[in-house]
Amino acid sequence: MTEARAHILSKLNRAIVREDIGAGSVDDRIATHNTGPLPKRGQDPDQAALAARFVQESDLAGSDIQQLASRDDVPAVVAAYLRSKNLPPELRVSSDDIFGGVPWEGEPGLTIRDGVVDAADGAALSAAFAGVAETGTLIMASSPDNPAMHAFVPLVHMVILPESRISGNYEAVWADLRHQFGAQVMPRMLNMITGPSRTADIEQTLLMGAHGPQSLLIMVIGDL
Amino acid sequence: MKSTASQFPQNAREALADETLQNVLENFADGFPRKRAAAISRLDEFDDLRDAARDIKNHVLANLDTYLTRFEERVLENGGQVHWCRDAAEACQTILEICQAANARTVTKSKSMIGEEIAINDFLERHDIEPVETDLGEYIIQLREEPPSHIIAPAIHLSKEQVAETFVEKHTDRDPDRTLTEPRVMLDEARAELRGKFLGADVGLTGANMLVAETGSIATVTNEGNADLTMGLPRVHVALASIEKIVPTLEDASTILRVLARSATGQEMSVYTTFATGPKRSDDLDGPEQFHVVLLDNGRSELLGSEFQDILRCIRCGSCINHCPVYSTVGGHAYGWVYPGPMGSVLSPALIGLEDAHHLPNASTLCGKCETVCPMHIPLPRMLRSWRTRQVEQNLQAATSRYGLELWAFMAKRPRLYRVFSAMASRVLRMMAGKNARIRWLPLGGGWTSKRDMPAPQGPTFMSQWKQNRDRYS
Repeated sequence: MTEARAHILSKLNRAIVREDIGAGSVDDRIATHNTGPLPKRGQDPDQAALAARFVQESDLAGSDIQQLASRDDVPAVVAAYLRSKNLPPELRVSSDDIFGGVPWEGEPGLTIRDGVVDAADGAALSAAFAGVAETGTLIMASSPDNPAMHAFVPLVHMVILPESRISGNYEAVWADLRHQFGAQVMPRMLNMITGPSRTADIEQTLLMGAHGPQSLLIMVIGDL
Repeated sequence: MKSTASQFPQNAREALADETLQNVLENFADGFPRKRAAAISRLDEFDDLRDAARDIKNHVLANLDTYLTRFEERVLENGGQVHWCRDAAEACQTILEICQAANARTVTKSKSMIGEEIAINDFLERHDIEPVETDLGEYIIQLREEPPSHIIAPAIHLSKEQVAETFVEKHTDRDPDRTLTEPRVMLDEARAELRGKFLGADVGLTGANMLVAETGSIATVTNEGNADLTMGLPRVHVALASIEKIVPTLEDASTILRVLARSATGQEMSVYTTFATGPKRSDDLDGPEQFHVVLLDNGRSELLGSEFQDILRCIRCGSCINHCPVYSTVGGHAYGWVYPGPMGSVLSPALIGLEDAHHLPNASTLCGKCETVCPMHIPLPRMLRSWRTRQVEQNLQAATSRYGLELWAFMAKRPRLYRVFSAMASRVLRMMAGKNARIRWLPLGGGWTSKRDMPAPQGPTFMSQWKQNRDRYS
């Protein structure tokens, strides 16, 4: 292994036609986080416009999206969504702080489970780290409070996204991430999710729910 | 996978005669290009992004050794392991040893072209480990024991009837008389079959679309979510990536993502883009206990600094394939190895040798569409021509074209003889064509005239017209 490493690196070293001078420029390049051209789409004037853009783009990507005034509305929306998908009133909910203030008692028929999803779960609810207006993309950061598999194992995935966490573009989220986690530190899994799972592998017929969720519900919460 | 690239002409003839394939290809040629054009029309900055994406990869290639060591440092810091492999044999052995150390019996796999390149499935099977492809298209062709025919749509060559036959034959626990006519029903069946495999696998093997030097993350891009289940559920995650997949930062990854999905499927973004960084952390409820990155060279370091370096910018979007008139006529299997279409015809000779793959650079009309649609500005036609030059240098081209060119060169160096002969040939061709100016059969040109008529030359030769009308033009 070390032999292969030395061999590959020395071959590269000999073959490379260098444009820059040495390792210093590489470390500078990594540290400066220069962005490429940023699309105008996503450079909206205020948070309300960004949220509107996010809603529009998520819809184009096939997500179901609802704008709620506050967390108080979550239980009723969740219960109705499960009914619309013919699923039992059961839900795996991640233990993110954001769910602390959700009045689940308002939907007594709904069974809420914590912990990580398993194969028997039809639906899971988790919290987004951010939303990106440019393409209606959710950014999910895995943690003990937000297990990554909630977004992939069940047939229905639901996400809470505070409106204040909607950014124009991916680059703004990376800046937030570094601010929150530290430079060069990543959550173990960072998932960018744009719509529900799909495939077109059989005669190019587009079908939702390939291996991941068939439906994705995003609840954008105004007051959080 | 064993190459049949040396039989390209034979493969292509068979593909042309395959009615099912021709029907499927007709559908193919329309879909992807239309969706790509629609997505690009929604993004004014697309061309600027292409330039930026090209510059990122050029910069990385000019510092690849340093970037790889930075990436390695970050992976190690995050508790992962990095395995450097010179060739397919070393990579297969490395993956096998990881699987054996984990007492693995089954390995779930998300689609990886590098996995095809090193033929990891066959290797694992020979050592009693069951590899299970989880991308729907890849799963279908694994059941059929076929190679992929497209780098992003591996089962594009199949009709739904063929998929249904395969499922009935291979899913033996199910009612053989069930109705399987709708793609939806077939998908649900595959989803149910694979669910148990995802949950029961000991090792998950993914590819990587990018390696981020800044964070030591591997990035995967899928629409199904299968890469995420593959890396998230088993005890061990192995990511297999070739060395040129490096990008410096998350910002650079973003620039490339903006051109990737739009060029590939015409989506704004693929559904799932995932950055995985190291194994499960102390309080995590899910995730793998081990995180391995297998870094594969397999001939790529030879391309650095060569006239083929630019192909190392390729992000495997498949756009060149989707727009290639040759691919959409013969399909992917005719090319005979892992990578079809224009990018494959440039890359394959470098990876399996020009002798084996010498037909591939000729399997192009040099129409240039591939370069026009390439999000990384890879000069594919220029490199196809470079391979043709090497064919001539190594005496690999067919005897008929060699003698034909020698004859033409002989004449072209003798202008008087050339003029006499071309005037004669032009007259003969016009006589053969008759009134409607179409030639239905040509001696030595049967390959052309069996599929279409040859138009007859119109009027006298250029030189005689030039002589006649010189005054008018001067």
